[in-house]
Amino acid sequence: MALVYQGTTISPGLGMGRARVVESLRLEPPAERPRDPEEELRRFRRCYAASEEELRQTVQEAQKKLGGHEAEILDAQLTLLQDEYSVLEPIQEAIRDGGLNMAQAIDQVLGGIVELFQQAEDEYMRLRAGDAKDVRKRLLMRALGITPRDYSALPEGTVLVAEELTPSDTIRMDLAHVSGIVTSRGGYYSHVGIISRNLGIPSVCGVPRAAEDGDTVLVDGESGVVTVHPDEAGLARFSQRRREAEAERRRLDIFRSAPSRALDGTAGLICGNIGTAAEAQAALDAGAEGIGLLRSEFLYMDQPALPDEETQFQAYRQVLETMAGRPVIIRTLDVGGDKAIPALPMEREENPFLGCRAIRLCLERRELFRVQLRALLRAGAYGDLRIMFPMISSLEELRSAKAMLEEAAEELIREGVPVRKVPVGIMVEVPGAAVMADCLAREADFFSIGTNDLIQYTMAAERGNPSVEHLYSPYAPAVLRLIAMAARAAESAGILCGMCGEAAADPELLPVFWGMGLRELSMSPGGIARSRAALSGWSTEDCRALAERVLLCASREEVQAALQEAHRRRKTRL
Amino acid sequence: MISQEVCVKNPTGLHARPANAFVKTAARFPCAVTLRKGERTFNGKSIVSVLSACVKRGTQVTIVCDGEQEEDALRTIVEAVESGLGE
Repeated sequence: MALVYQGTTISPGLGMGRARVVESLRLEPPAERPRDPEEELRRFRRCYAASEEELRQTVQEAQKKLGGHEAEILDAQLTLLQDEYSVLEPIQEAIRDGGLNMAQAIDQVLGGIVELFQQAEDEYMRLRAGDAKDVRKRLLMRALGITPRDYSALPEGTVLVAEELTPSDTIRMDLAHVSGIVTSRGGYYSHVGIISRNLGIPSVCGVPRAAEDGDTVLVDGESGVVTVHPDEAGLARFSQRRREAEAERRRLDIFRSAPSRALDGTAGLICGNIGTAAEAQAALDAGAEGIGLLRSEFLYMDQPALPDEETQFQAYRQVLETMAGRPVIIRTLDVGGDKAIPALPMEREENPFLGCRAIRLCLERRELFRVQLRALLRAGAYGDLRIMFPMISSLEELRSAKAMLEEAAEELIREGVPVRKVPVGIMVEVPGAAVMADCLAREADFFSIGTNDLIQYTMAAERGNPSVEHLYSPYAPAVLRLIAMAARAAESAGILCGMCGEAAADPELLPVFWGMGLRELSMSPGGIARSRAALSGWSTEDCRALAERVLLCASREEVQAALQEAHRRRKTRL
Repeated sequence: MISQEVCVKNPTGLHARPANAFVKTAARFPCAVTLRKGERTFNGKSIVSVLSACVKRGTQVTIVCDGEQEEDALRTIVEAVESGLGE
């Protein structure tokens, strides 16, 4: 009978295969004391030297094989193993003077380090406890003469079932043939979580040892459900889902690394929206050709004090360096009554969405803005930076913001800091900015349409309020006409117009935006490949015709009908 | 014995990779390397000791080198810390 377990997913995907149980080793040091401490010391030194040599080689292999994460962890473990002051000497002392056998001495000294790390207040240090445990295991296994079971050649379609997997476990494993991992311990940020996501192996944790060697196991990394001994119908359904997911993944995978092009070859950029510096890598991995929106708020949120220039500079620089020359649009601080930051007390406003927020706030709190602008300008030396001001609603605002940027640049130059010329653009998210787009385009280097706010301000309907949900829609003709106005103005002025709201990732609207002349679309990294695939099926000419058609529509229903019709026609033609 | 004060600038402080880089740099020299933070001192060649110093970003520490090649060691270590220890 099928056994179903609900765990926590730590790596997405659907995996199925035969279970292989990874036994946790019992590493109990023997109780007897050695008769001759000097002899025991010599045994320990041999054991230590062999472990060190083995780990050194493993590090080298890992650097060649996997690079990144695993090699780094193993290298940190090597440094720990080589710590004479805290590891080697204390163990030798415990054998020589304490009369312990070597396994006891190893267990005592490294156990103490594990505890020291586990009790640390600092999270980074607590993470190191795993390294110390792994080093203890490595030394103890050798001291006790235990050879680990060999997992270096696994049959295709193996589902690993384990209590926990450490770097020293996974490094010797044939993970290329592993189609799923089920562990009882671990978590999203545990070693097994990181490595399985890196390798694309579906994984679920929090399931107690569920299967025996050879059992058929289904690992649903979407829902966290693990099924052992599935019945025939369940197995067939899962296989079908897997085939479909695989076909879709294959189809989209090509588009992760492909350039963004319409059917006729017209090129554009599909970029990622990110909310922290660390997400840049994930965006890149998902196929982003740049960052179309870095929300700089993350530096200010959950912080007791405002971030200083250096902190900001480092974060921006990290993103620019990760993106290695690709364009990176950083939006200056966009907060207000609805998105408050603890270090910046704000007056309560009746209607924060129409109050002193985003660029308005920055122009009022000049020191706050000055620090961010300086940090941005300094970071500009490390890549293709573009600065974007949010919520511009008038030309005066754009001029004031640009004047402050100019001041910051002059200050830096006076201090001898080299400053590169950085393109400066605006978010078009206030209807007033779209209406005045022709004037704004003469003084901005680019536009990026922020659909979320543009819809809310155009339709005077807030997002997420069910009673006005029928109004809040990117398909509203009023919204589409404003977007077209901005795009047209940008085109006449010869500047780039992009989009960074959620609508950018809507494959239904994509041909409309492309037809209006938007050539840069930025979205959550997960949607990049799908959008690029959608774009590749449309010719620019058809997109233009569709955009023109949609702009003549009088209602949201008409817009949707026109889109359905166009998508249906394109499909039958293909 | 020579020493110099230096400010730890990399984002995560003396943690993980930077701590590793620090210890490896110190290990290249025969002299003793000590890290002083306030009143407390830590062995600069021991990863466990350096980690337990819990040096956060923006902290001033003093590097003390004592013994053979102490001048080379101090200069190299201070440079490494100032350049962000590979981070």
